[in-house]
Formats: sequence, structure tokens, C-alpha cells
Amino acid sequence: MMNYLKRYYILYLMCLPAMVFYIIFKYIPMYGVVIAFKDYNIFEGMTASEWVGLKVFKEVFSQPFFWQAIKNTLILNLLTLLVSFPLTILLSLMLNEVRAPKFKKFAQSLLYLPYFISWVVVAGLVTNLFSLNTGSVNMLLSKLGIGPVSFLIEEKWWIFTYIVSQVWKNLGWGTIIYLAALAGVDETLYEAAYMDGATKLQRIWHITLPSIKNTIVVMFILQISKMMAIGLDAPLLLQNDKVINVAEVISTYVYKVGLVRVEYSLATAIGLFQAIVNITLLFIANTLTKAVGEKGVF
Amino acid sequence: MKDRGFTILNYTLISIVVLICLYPFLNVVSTSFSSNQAILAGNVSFFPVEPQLGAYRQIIIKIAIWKSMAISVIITLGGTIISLFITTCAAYALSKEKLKGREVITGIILFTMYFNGGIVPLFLVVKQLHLLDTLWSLVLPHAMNAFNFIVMRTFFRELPESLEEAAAIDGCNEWMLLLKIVLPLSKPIMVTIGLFYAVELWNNYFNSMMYITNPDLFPLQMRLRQIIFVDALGQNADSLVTMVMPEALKAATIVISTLPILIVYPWLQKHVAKGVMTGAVKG
Amino acid sequence: MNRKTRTMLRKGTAILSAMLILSGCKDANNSSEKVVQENIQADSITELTVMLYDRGNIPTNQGVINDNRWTKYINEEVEKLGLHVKFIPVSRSDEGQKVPVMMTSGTAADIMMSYDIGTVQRFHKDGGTWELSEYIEECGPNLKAYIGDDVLVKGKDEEGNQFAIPARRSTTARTNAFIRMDWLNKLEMAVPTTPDELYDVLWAFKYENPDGLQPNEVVGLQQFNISKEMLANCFWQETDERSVFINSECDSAGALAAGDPGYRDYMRFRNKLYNDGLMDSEYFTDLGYGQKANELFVKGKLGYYEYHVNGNVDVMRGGLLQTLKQSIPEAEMVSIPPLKNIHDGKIYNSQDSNSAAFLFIPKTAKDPAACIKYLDWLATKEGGFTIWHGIEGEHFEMQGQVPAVLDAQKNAVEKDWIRDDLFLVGNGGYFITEADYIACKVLENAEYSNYIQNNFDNATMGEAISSYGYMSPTQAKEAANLKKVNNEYSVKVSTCKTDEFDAMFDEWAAALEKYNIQQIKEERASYYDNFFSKQ
Repeated sequence: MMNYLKRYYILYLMCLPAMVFYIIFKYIPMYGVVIAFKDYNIFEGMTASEWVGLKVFKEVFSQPFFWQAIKNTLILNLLTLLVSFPLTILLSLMLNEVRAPKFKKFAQSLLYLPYFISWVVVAGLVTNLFSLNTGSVNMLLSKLGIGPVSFLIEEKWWIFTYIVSQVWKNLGWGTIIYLAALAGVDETLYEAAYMDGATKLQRIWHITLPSIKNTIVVMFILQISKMMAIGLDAPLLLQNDKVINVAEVISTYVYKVGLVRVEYSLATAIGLFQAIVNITLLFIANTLTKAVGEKGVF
Repeated sequence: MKDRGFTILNYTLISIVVLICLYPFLNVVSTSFSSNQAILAGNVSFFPVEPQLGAYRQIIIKIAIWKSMAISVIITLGGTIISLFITTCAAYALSKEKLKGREVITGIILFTMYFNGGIVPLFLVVKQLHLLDTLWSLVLPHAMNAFNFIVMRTFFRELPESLEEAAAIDGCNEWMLLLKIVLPLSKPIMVTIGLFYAVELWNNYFNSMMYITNPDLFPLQMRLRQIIFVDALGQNADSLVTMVMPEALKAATIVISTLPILIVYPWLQKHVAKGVMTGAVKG
Repeated sequence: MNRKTRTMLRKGTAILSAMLILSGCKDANNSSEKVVQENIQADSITELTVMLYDRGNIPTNQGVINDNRWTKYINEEVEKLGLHVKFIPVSRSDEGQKVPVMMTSGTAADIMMSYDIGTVQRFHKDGGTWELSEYIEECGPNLKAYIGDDVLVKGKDEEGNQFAIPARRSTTARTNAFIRMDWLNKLEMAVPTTPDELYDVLWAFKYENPDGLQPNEVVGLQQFNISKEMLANCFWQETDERSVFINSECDSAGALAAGDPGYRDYMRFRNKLYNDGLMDSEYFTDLGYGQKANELFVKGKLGYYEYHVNGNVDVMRGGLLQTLKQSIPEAEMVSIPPLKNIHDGKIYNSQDSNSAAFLFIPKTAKDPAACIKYLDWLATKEGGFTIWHGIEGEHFEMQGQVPAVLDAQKNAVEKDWIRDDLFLVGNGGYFITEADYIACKVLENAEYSNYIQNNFDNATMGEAISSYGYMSPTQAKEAANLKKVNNEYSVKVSTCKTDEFDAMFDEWAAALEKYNIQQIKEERASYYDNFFSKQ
């Protein structure tokens, strides 16, 4: 035992700064979750407020609008994942194959731009572009003979527009991680394959992809474990009252309920619910991954 | 021959995607240079209409903006260094399969990705530490991000074990191994994660909103947000002072806050070069 | 250690040192302020802190938000009362989140303000703020006179506790109906006075457009906000104060489909307008603040627009008419009187609440009486009037009873940027009567003064329908759900096919029942009978 410590004490020391950080800034404040079980009075404080057990949860679960929000969150997240995940990898692979360094640098910088533009601007642009009567997209479609499409005011089409907006905004930025992983692939492997007569596509399929397999798996698990969470800006700015039945998600629901009164208990309870579901998804995804022989997240 | 066709297709497709991604930014830049009337009438798309510099002038003459930009630069650089240090050490150590208790420590970190106590308890902790109204409050409470940690650890896992063995033979301890061998080989991931932290620090206004009351310490985003905020009555108090519409102002603030990152990134790019692993392990 | 590492370490140390120095600077400032504080306290001056909105709009050379000409002026004056004021800036854009955190962590100022009555009332119910009636009686005679009992009552709860002091709004004028008068004239049609006449006018605007615009380019009618719609008033059947109090509430948490039976007729009218193409088919996608509608206005494609009072020429709303005239000089988008009720022919004009922000004093304040003294001073001529209008001869000159602005640009740079936020007890300015406010407003824009006068006349004529801002207990609980139901169904019944209308409307009423709307109506009735009507 002492031998082991002597050999590896440096590694444990390396973990120390992180541990100190987490204890101070994450675990000490974690007592805040108790207000999900209390009738929180901000002046009495978190410890003195009355304990009400699961009453807040029961109230939350009894609201039909809450379950609608959960359903919508899952649907939007899942569909967005199914579309953007493969596209991001595809774009990364394409960029990786670019030999001209100037073109690659240029393209990458421009691809990141949408990530930095706030949703306020993007939602405004989307609303204009996809408008029924005056939007450029519909005008183009009319010229091509396909009638105008209610991109923003018909429920199924709104989901489509939402996904397109998400991909538009995040695709470029998502390639960073994969490109970093791809940069670490051993060049000699390619040369060997080239010698053996492999085509470009074959090389990609048999060498490139397997080399970043672990990265892909880890990213996928992490995305799955976020299914029950969703940002506030995009749905809030893109939704309108005609499509609200598919556009109301957890974040916008909490936002609207919280607008009327400062309901910390409610928001905390919902947040706790989301966290439990997400971490369960993480466990499941991770276990399944290890069962098929891959290295999981932990 | 086949490769050539592939290359042309590749370049074309990428160019199309780039153009699509470019449009919103072009629109924002054009708006920032356009006149009230054109913006209100919805005439601005790719290019400025009735160009004017009023929006930029209004922002640039405020000394406060420059002060805030300096603050943002300081906390971004300082914060990134701190975050990179903490994350790299932990990610490296926890990538070693032989480390006992590795799963427990990783679990402690991961758990916080899902569960947190809310903004008020964190505020109270920051207050207890006397960090309110200091720059440390913008950098420390979110110094380490579990997602970045996982990505970095994944990368370190990929490093071949033979590296370690070679180093052990040469009599290096773990710390020297990290510094002298692993880090130089890890430039892509260091730059990447560094970029993630830097962008988050640069764009963040929530922390300053919570912890800073002294306007002298406001970072850039906080100032810019004040400029573009339109209150519930649909009024922007700032248009009192000049006749520049909030839309042009909004657009100009986005351009100003994005520009530094766009300038810095290509420079960082050269460190994410390919082939870094080649020959790292001999034979 | 190689060179590169050494350079990096050096740079890193430099940055960290910079951070340390900067954080130290703040402490240096603190200690000098402390010395001044101690000196003042030596003469038994009470210090109090006051929340001040920071809009990030300080013009250059005017100082900083909490230390400038006007904060200095205030402290010079209140020193005579034995007070010293320190301003705590709160970013206007984040007050919704910041204020609760300040209250929760005990870092709130002595005088706080918020526009959200529910939150403020909750703070008091939970025991976090002072009850103010006695302090006002003893220390606030000017305050009481300026704000008036009719407004003060809005800061009282069911038990008569004064939990907050509402600021008085200088004018309750809320909405104007704007119409393209040049189109009307060209069509030789009279100004519409009833919904049916409006329908005919809109039809002509769209399908017989005098400027030659195609039907698909013209939008007949656009309204700014659900539940603030002026047209609804034309269909009410029960217009007495008690019924209006029970049924209405600004903010979509009202009874609407389960309220006045006439509301169904109003929605039917809207459904007709929509199905006959007289409204924008995507009107509900407007991102808020009427962005799309303003675009249509400025492009000259909008026929009839319900919008903020004076919104056609108000520079702070973008000077829409001015912009329109730049491309179509003869265009006239002017306000007309509200349309008449179809049952009794009267004009019912919805007004804003006469209260605006709510001022409250957290228990962390040690001297509530001093706070009230300060607010009392704000309600005087040396206080509010000077802060808001400026110095006579420098910023304004009296034209009869009315302060007329001398140089708008100079005023904007020297005082306008902060005056609204310093003058806590009033909203819209220091004015004794509403007529004063309007007279002053008219003088602000010489070229369009006729328009402005016309706008305010139209916005205040007829029978006033007030906004009450009261939420019954169940209503507060269900408000979010009610709002969702109202928003969703308002669009549904307006855009569905005409033969589906009645069924959809019934669905709406049923959905409201699910959220206890009947109980809410009873609670509001009880509050009205037992409390409100007795004020």
C-alpha cells in the first residue's frame, strides 16, 4: 500500500485542485436542493423553512402542462440529436480531408460564426426567412412550383424549422472536438493503407472513423444524458401561440411559471427531476456501451 | 483519379455549408452599418443599406466600453490559464487506468454536471469568501467544467502506454512525464479546451450580473447587454441620446463582442496541426 | 524548463498579478469612502441606500451612474434633512433575477423597487419588508399628497397593510388606434366609429387600395397585445366597474372566454377579419414589441394599428410616422377616437393602471422613517421637479404653467438619461395633473404637436376602463396556466374556420374552468365588495 502511494502520490496531488474546487463551489452549495422539499420562505432561509416533503413534486406532477412540456422536450432533443450528430461527424471528416491549409483555416473560422450570434438574432432571421407570405424561402418555393409551406405556423413544420435552426447554429462549432481528435491520428496508418490500394472512402471508413471511435462514443453518451434538459433561448424565441402545443418545453414552462411569482421551490423541484432522469440516462447509456466492449464515460 | 473527384465534391459541399453559415453574420454586420429607415423597413439582408457609422460611434466613444474590454481580456486570459491548469491535471491523472479510486473521483466530478444547488446558495458561498465585487468571482466559481474534463480525459486515454514505459525507463516521475512529453503532444486538445473555456469566459455575463455591482469591474458583455436591452415597454433608453435605432446598436454590439474571438482563432489554428502523433512512438 | 515554458509562466504571472491589482483597487476605493462615511456619521446623519436602475446609457463626461451631477445635487439637498444617500446600481436588464437574489442574500438596498406586484406582496407576506402606513403618516405628507390615496391603495393588501408605495403614473393614456387617413380621404370614406364600419374600411384598404397596392401586400388590421385590445371594449355587455373588475386583468390571466358574454362576439368578429384576409395571416409570430407591425407601418402597408399611445410620432418608439413620411410624404397615420360599443353606443377607453413601479423597504433597512423622509423629499419641487425638469433657464423655461424644453439634445445628454430612475415616486415625470403632462409632451415636438395633442385626446376620451393590477390568491396560483390557455386559444379561435368557431370557443371556456376560473371570479368579487369599493 505504501509503495503504491509513493509511486502514485503525484497523480493524487494532481487531482487536488479540482477536488478543492468542486467541494467549495459545487458541493457546499448543493444544500440548495432541499428547497424542493420545503415551502421556501426566502427570509426564513433554507434551513428554517417548513419541510413539506413531496408536496411540491406532487403539485408539479399534477399539472398537465408540465407533462406536455416533458414530452415536447424529449421529442425536440431526440430529433435534433438524430439529425445533427451524424452531420457534425460528416462535416468534420470532410474538413479533415482538406489539404489546402488556407482554405481549411478560412472555412473553419466562418463555420463557427453562427455559434456566436445570439438566438435573438437567429430567431429574428428565421422568422423572416420562413415567413408564409414574405419569407425568401417560400418565395423561392413558389417560383419552383411547390406551394408555400407554413414553416412556422404548422406544428410538424415548426419542429422541422426548429431543428434546422439548431443545426445551422451549432454545426460548425460541434466539429471542433472531432477535428482535434482527428488531428491526433497517426499519419503512417494512412500511408500504409494507400500503399495497399485503399480508396479515399475506404481509408475514411477503415482508419479515420475507428481512430476517433472513442471520442464519438463519449460524445454520444454525453448527448443522450442531456435529453431531459433544453436551453431556454431557442424555443422561447422561436415559439408562437399557434404551435405552442409542440413548442412548450421544460425550460420555457419553468420560465413562464416563474414569471408570475418567485417560485424557487417549483423551479428547484423540476430541476431535480430533470437531473435524476438525465443521470439515469447516463448510467444506462454508459453501461450499454461498456457491455459492447467500448470504453464508456466512467 | 477517383480521389480528385472526391476532392472537388468535398470542397464544393464545404463551401456551400460555409456560405449558409455566413449569412446570419453578414446580415448582422450589414445591419450594424445601416440606417434606421432601412432596418425598420426590413430592407437589409446581405449588404448595408444607407450606410452610417452612428451605431459604432455611439459605442466606441464610451470610455466604459474600452475599460470593460480590458477587463474581459484579463479575465479571459487569466481564467483560461487557471481552468486549463486544474482541468489538465485532473484529466491526466484520471486517465490512468491503474489509479485506484479513479472511478470514485470521476464520479464526484460527473455528478455535478447534473445536480446543482441553484444560484442562491452559490451566491452565498461567493459572498462568504468575500469574492463579491472582485474579478475572482468571475473566474473561480466556474473554473472547471465537467464536460471539458471528460473530453480532455478521453484524449489522454488515447495516448499509447508505450510512452509511459519509455519515460519510466528514463527515470521520469509523473509530473515530468506530463510536462515534457504529454503536453507537447497534446497541443490540439489543449488549444481546443482552452478555446472552450476562453469563449465561455468571454461571452459570459451572468456571473457579472450576479456578483458585481461596481460598474468599473463590468466585463464587456455586461455593458453591451445594457445597451441592447429593450425594456418591457419596448423602449430603449439609449436612443434618447442619439437617433440610432436599437437594431443597429444590437448588431454593432454583436460584431464588437465577436470580433476578438474571430481574430484570435485563426492564430490558434496552427497549433491544431495534423500529424502531431507521427513518430511519437518509435518502432 | 525550456524557454517557451518560461515565457508562458511569465505571461501567466503577469495576468494573475493584473487581476490581483485590479481587485485591490476596489478595496482602495472602499477604504476612502469609509473615511468619508465615518465623518458624516459623526454629525449624526443617517445614511440610506437606494436602488437605481443602470441602463448603461451614461453619456460621456457625465460621470458614473452612482456619482454624477444629479446624485451630488440630491445629497446636497437632503443633507439639510439629515440624510445621505448612497445609490446601488442594478442593471435594468437583469432586475428580475437580481432583486430576488439581493433580497435572499441580505444585500438589498434600503429602498427597493420592482414592477412585479406579486413578488413584492410575497416579500411582505413572508415577513421580509416593513409595513409602511405609520411612517407615511408621520414622515411623508408631501409623498402622500403627490401620490394620492387612490394610488396608494394599490400598495395595500387585503388586511390593509401598506406593503409598498406605488409610484404614480403621470398619465393613464395607454392605447391609440391609428389609421391611414390619406387612404380614407382618397376613398372618400368617413372615419369609422363602429366595428362594422371598420370592417368596410379595412375591406376597401385591402381590396380597393387607393395607392394601388395589391391585396396580398396590405395588412388591414394589427393589434399590439392580447387583452389590451381596444376593439374588445366595443363588445362588452357588462360595463359597470364591478363587472369589469371581476372579469378583466391585464396580462392574459383574466377570465376572457369565461367572463363577459360579449367577448365571444368580439372573437367572432376577429375570426371574420382573419378568415376574410383582413389581418396578417401570421400575426401571432411577431416576436414581441410589434417589430413586424412596425415594419409594415413604415413600409406603408398597414391600414389600422392598435398601438401604444402616441406611438406614431414618439421618437422613443422609433419615430414611425416620420420614417414613413420619408418615403411617402403624403401618408398620414393618425389616431382616431376609439370605436363605440355596439350595445349602448358609448366609447369605453382602456387605461393603464394609475400606479407604476412598487417601492418597498426590506427589513434589512435600519431606519424606515429616514427612507420615507427621502421619498417625501422626492415629491417636492426641490426634489422631483428639479430632478425631472432641470434648472429653470438652463433646461427649460416656463410657458404659463408648463415647463417647455429649451434644447432637447442638451437635456438628453445632461439629465434625461437618469431622471426617470432617480425620480422614484412618479412614472413619466413630475406632474401634478395629467393635463400638465400632456401639455408638456405636446411642446416636446413642435412639428408634430397637433398629432400629439390629438393622440392624447383620443387616448383619454370616453368612459375610462381602469387597470387594477389585483390578483386574487387562486389567480396568483393559476396565473401561469391561465395565461397559457388564453394565449393558445386566442389564436386558435381567431384562426380557425368560421364554422368551427363556436365549438372552439366553448373548448376555451371549458379549459379555463379546469383552472378554477369560477373560484377566481368569486374571490375577485369578494375583494371588490369588501375592500376595493370601500376605498
